[in-house]
Amino acid sequence: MAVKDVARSFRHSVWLGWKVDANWTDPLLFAIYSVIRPIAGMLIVIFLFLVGSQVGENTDPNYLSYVFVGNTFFILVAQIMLSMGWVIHEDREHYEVLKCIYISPASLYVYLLGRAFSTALMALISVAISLLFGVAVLQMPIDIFLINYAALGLSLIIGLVAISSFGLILASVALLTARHGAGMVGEAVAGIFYLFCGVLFPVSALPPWAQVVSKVLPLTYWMKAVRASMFGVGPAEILNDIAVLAAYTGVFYIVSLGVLRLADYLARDKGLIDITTEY
Amino acid sequence: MGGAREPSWVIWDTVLPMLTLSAYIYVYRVMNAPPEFTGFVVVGGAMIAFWLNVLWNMAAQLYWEKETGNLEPFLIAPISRMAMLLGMAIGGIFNTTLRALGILLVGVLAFHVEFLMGDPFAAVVVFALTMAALYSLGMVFASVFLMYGREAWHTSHLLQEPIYFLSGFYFPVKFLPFWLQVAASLIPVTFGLDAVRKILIQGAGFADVSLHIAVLSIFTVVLLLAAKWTLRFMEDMGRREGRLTLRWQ
Repeated sequence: MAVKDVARSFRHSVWLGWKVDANWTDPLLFAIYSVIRPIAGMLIVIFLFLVGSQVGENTDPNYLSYVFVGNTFFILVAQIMLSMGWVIHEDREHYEVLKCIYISPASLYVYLLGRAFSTALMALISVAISLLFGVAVLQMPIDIFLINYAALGLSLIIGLVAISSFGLILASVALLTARHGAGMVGEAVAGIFYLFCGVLFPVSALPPWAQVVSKVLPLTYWMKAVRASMFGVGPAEILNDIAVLAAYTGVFYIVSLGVLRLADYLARDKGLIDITTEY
Repeated sequence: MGGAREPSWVIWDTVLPMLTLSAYIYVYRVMNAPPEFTGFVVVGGAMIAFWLNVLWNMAAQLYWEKETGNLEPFLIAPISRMAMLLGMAIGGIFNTTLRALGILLVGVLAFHVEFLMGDPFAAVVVFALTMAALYSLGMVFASVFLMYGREAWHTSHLLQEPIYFLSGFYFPVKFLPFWLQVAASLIPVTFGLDAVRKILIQGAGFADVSLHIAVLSIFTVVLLLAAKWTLRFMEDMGRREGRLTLRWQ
């Protein structure tokens, strides 16, 4: 495909993703909907901290900032995984258009990337609103003048490639499986990163075997880099995490391409492109 | 049926959801919270399985049948809508109980959660009433969602995290501010979850949860009547406006 055709497919996929996610209601209601879920998720972890500090012995206030930043940026992971875990089932069984996408000039890979990008844009807005709500309303101790914006931007870009790669793997698996639990698969898989990548607590709290898992997941380094950027740590300290993040992201990106190609072949071979399970 | 065809649900619905719960358990551990809080999270996770089943396999079911073109045969069949939903509820409770037991088992094996089980009879009564109230609420949702298009789908999403927070799925509701506790008391799962925790984790007896039992009984009666009325009202409206066969709206 020519670059121009790829760009056109990508642009239309992003637009389609936006329409599917957003045009079910009026803009005001959609804005409220987009804000309530992430804020409720944030309140859950903030109350976990508040309850824990009342009944436990560790009342370090810095831990609240740690939890807040980790949970807020995890919105990107949760939403992209949710979207990518569902997009194949939605297109195949609900709208019954997956076969149309296959016979169109667009590549499935570019189409899925476009859908992931569309979700990422909406998730970034949710992250920004959650940060604002946390700082302005809940008085979270984040100094906006201390944030290392360059490092944060770079971490976000590489991190989004890493998250999208995992999303592609999940969509590839969805090509070969039936619909489970109305799209909860993406949320369930996001739990892997929630537990192992230092989102809510330092990785050192995990058992040794789990720390090994943590070390090979790029999102562990992404979380460290994002958190360090938010707290204004100098570029030298962040650089190492960003370098490791970039290296692991490259590996998982190549793996995701291979997995998608294999799943695509198997799905066509087994006649799964237009299957409807009806349950 | 789907569970038998696709046994991989054991991984998707039992093992993977436990990962998120584990993250919350580690937060309590990092803060040196008492061990019973681990039990609170595990029991909350088991009850989330029921809440998700109510939202996605009860409330959204008729919407999904409409979207996939199966609603017409459902409505043509000579059966009461309540009976159909009751059958779906019983099937859902059975399947989800297996999932919830799986989550409790993982909690025991991985995090050594200790259950005291104060009064087995009270546990059975509370569980039965909680399910009755929850699935009656699911029937109300099902009738309302019948009329919706994609709003139904997004409303189900919207009823996840906010309800997890309000109903205290990861911490006892007594830690919420008073006005939030008042709001939480309008949701049946809040009472059910609190009572189940008291019995399973703190060894409470029948008398300790008598208020919960009374409230859950009231919820069940009110919600069942509401479900019967809303189902008839929404179906009539759907027939008049020709919205029962609309797809992809």
